[in-house]
Amino acid sequence: MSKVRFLYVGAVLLALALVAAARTACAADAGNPADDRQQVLIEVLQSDAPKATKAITCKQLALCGTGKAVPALAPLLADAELASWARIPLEVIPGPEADAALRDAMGQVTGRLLIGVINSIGVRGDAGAVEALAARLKDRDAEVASAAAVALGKIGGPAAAKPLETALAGASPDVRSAAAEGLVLCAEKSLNAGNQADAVKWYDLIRQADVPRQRIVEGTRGAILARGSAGLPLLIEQLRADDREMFYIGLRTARELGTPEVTKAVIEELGRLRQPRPPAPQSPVLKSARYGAGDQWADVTAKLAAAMSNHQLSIVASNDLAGDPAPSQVKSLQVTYALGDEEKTVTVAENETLQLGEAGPEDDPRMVPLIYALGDLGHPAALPVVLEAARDGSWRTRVAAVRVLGQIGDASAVPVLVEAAQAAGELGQRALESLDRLEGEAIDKAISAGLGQVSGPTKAVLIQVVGSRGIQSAVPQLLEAADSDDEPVRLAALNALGMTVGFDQLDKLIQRLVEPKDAQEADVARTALLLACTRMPDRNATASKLLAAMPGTPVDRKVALLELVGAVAGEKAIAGMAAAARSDEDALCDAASRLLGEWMSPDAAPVLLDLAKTLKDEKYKLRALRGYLRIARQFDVPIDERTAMCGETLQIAWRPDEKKLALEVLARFPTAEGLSLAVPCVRDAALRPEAGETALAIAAKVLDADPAAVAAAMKAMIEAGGERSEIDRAKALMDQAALKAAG
Amino acid sequence: MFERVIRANRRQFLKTALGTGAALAVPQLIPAAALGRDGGFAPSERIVVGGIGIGSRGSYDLGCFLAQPDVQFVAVCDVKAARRESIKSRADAHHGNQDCQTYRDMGDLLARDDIDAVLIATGPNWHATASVTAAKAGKDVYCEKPCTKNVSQSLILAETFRRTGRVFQAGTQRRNLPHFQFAVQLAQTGKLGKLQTVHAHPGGMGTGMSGWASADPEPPREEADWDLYLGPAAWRPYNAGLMRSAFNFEKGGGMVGGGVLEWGSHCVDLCQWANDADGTSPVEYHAAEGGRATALYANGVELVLRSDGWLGLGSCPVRFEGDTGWVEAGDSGKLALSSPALLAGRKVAEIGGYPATFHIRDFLDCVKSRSQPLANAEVACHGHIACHALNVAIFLGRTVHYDPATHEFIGDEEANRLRSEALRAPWRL
Repeated sequence: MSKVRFLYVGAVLLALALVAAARTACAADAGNPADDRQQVLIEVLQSDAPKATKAITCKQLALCGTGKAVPALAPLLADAELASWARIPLEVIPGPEADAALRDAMGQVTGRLLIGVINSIGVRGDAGAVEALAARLKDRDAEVASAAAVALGKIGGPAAAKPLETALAGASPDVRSAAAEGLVLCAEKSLNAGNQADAVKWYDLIRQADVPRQRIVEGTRGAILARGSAGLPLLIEQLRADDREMFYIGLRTARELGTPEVTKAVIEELGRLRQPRPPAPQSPVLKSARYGAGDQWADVTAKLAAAMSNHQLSIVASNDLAGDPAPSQVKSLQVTYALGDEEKTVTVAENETLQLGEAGPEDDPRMVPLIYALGDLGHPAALPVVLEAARDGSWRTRVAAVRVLGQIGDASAVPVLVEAAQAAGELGQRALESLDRLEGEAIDKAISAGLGQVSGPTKAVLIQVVGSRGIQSAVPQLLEAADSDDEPVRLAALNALGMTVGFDQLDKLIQRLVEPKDAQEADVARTALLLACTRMPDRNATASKLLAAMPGTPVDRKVALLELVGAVAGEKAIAGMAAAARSDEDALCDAASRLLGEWMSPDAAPVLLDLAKTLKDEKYKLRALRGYLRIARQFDVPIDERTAMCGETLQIAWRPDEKKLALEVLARFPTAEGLSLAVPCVRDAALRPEAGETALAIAAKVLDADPAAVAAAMKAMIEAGGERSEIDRAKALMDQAALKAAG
Repeated sequence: MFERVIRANRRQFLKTALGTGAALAVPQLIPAAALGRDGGFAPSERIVVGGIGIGSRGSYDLGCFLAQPDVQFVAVCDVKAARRESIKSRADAHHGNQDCQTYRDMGDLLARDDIDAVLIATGPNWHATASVTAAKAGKDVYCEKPCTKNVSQSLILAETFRRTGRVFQAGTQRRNLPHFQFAVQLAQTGKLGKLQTVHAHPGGMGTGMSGWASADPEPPREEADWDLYLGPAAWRPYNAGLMRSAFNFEKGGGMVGGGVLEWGSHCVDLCQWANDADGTSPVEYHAAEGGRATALYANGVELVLRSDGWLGLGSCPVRFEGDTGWVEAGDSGKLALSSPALLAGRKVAEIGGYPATFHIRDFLDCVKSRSQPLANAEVACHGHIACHALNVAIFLGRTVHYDPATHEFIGDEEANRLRSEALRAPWRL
């Protein structure tokens, strides 16, 4: 059992009463100096009430306390258990009283309590506390001095900054860091107030101080931004820094400045870092890899091949490769590979790392983040250098560059991206994403133009891009490719047609589904048709076309077509489904009743009702009824229609389960009409408890709107008899209804 | 404590990485030990991660981190000894070493110069304070939601990450799932017509305080450190139940409590994105009525938080309605559309179960590139402010008006007082 229980029930009740009281006080008496309710809270603080009660009372005063409450709160600043509660209102109560109380407390408390008081002064930004805080910078407790430094920063201004400058030069290391933090805050305030000179001075002081690197990072960022365009040389200095953190802040600040000059500077840096790449050395060709020990080995060739194709630099010989093939034994990874004509084997002990190598030297590690920065800067001037990196960089550089081409590329990027898209692993994937992401007709034209000039895997890749971009002008080329003998090209074309084909050419895709070359083509055609059909503007015409293709086709094709009809939806589709549900072929009845039962709009309701009434097979009949109820329960249907649907269900359902579902819907959407439908059900023993609960729940909700209906319904319910508690509730509701009816 | 000064040597990874560049040109498969290297990735590529407050949700996140080949998890901090040891065992088993160090006080973990990024999965009481502290210590941060307790913390979070240049990703992983992204894209690009209403599931609207519970016998600090558990929350005596309920302890803080923060931090976040409002928040908030709470953006779009009437597409559903169409998406990975034509021939990947893997990958990529991840601090700030302001309206039981430029409730001192709450010393933001 939970031990969370309040000290006193009384304390809880008092606290709850105070919440209500304080809320009312603030709502009703805002600005009223004679605030009696505030006085109640003050008296609680000044009483012998338990600390738990006083704690909650502090919270109430945060909502509506004024300067009058401060004398009651101030003594709590010296109470180790209540100080944190008292500071909650003292930080937000407006006026000089709270400032004065916190300043006074600085001289009266020590340690954590003092830190708390100083922090609150900082939050309030009390300029009158600058002198006292400055004195605290020399406190022997470094945490107190640090708190004072940050509080001074939050107050801001030259008077607060002056002692921070001094502390930055001469305080202990811990306090120097806090002084730098405070001075950054002063600089930000100064800059916001239009005083650039002070901001630059303070940022530069921090940069040159003996403080932790993160403070120098912050000072450097500020020094660049505060200088505006004149900060560019300092920014470039960071982009050339050997220290990663300084390089990183350069990258972030470059984005924040975001000017064309910054883009130019980043381009120049990239150019400076680029080295002519020597011809790639011969790559090792993986032959086999196994992990294990003794005579228990797992083949991990595929795992290693995947790592190499993704240019992963290394892999650890561990159970991550293939589980534990040799429990309780020290295992190893054995890899055989060919380098030219020579075959080699390398063995790595368990938990050791195998270096996979790289076909060529890595570029300078700054290049990748610089390329990403160019992407975020988004200036077209960066395109040539990014294109070059995408063509000629190391694998990692190319991955970054092809991603950025998706942000800043134009038609000139298409050939480079198409080439990269043929690579395995991440490079190919990223290139495809970028080809998909680039916008504009010029890109479409460049891609379409390329289709006629390529073949084999390149063509398949390009067709994939045509599809994902939905380039409709390329449909004739796709139709031609869909008859290609090259299977990858043919399947890619079929798939792409799904995303591009128009209504007039839909028959060609339907034909491929009805008479596929093989099972794989049937699958691709079905997926393509789903995409095609669901984006046709006239869904009735589309459904008709699909339905028209059904006669004479094998039943599994008919079902496939019917599923497409279901995805298209609309009047024709519903009519087609109804016809299929009544067909002589069981597979069609099954599919049609299933699809109708999952219909995504309420317009299937009449057909479902009709099927629920007239179908012969009970399984499909039940499916129709539940589909009908699903619409009543889940969809946005006018309330009277929804109630009527429940009424229909109660009338035709032959099992209690569906009737109970209908009652559930009536309870969820309560109306007087629904009440009149629920009450008669209490006479049905199979529905009794649910019907009673439903009727009572609806009655309670429609009592105000229609007391007469509630009175009549409750009377009928009482007459029907039932559990004592139910009857009592019905009587109570009837009495309330009578009272309301009487006005 | 949390202002620990870090004076370790500056990292010189760029030089180191350049130095190893020559070795990488060796066209062979070679045991790394032969090259004097000890890890899975080049130093410039490996991201050294520590975890703070790794309970059940944190364990899930940790699994996503460990699944990334460039992550080296080296440290865990938790106020509970049992959790520290359990996470250490897991990390050590994963990396095949004994290197994961354990800490009770996050200041000790943050003082380590070799840690690049931290996963923060404490209870919501600590999220903002730990994130800000970590940023000031020079760490990039992935922080579980809800990330802040009030309006003021949201603003400070954004300011701090701007100021420090650190990377922040809120644990609102739905931003990196394709079906939610597609739904947002439909709304943003006008495919639904003029956007009218964005709907979010709040996962509850109850407001309340964690309170001051009865005192239980306090365990030794090494076993469970109550003072560090309370952290920035106002003091109260040790109570075992409160300590177990970290998931809700001080959620939403102040007087207001969790309210719509639970799923709102996910779903309102997506609504903000759909309305292209990542840099702002609604301007008018209405108290809950009939199980619905609403807010209004300056551009006229209405935000509706409701728990019922969804199409059953899974938890954390959102729905965006324009004047010509609508889209609804949920955690099943499925989409419902007013018209299939909205797909425009696209096949949207269907990823159910709201995995955080892609979101964490986005974070790690940005740690390297210094780009902003999708749920960065600015985004989290404004999405959370929307939830906090709604909670204020719900708590006060009336409409409040908010100015996203000044970050004040307009002419409403009562509401303005609920924007912040004092932190227990020595913690500060």
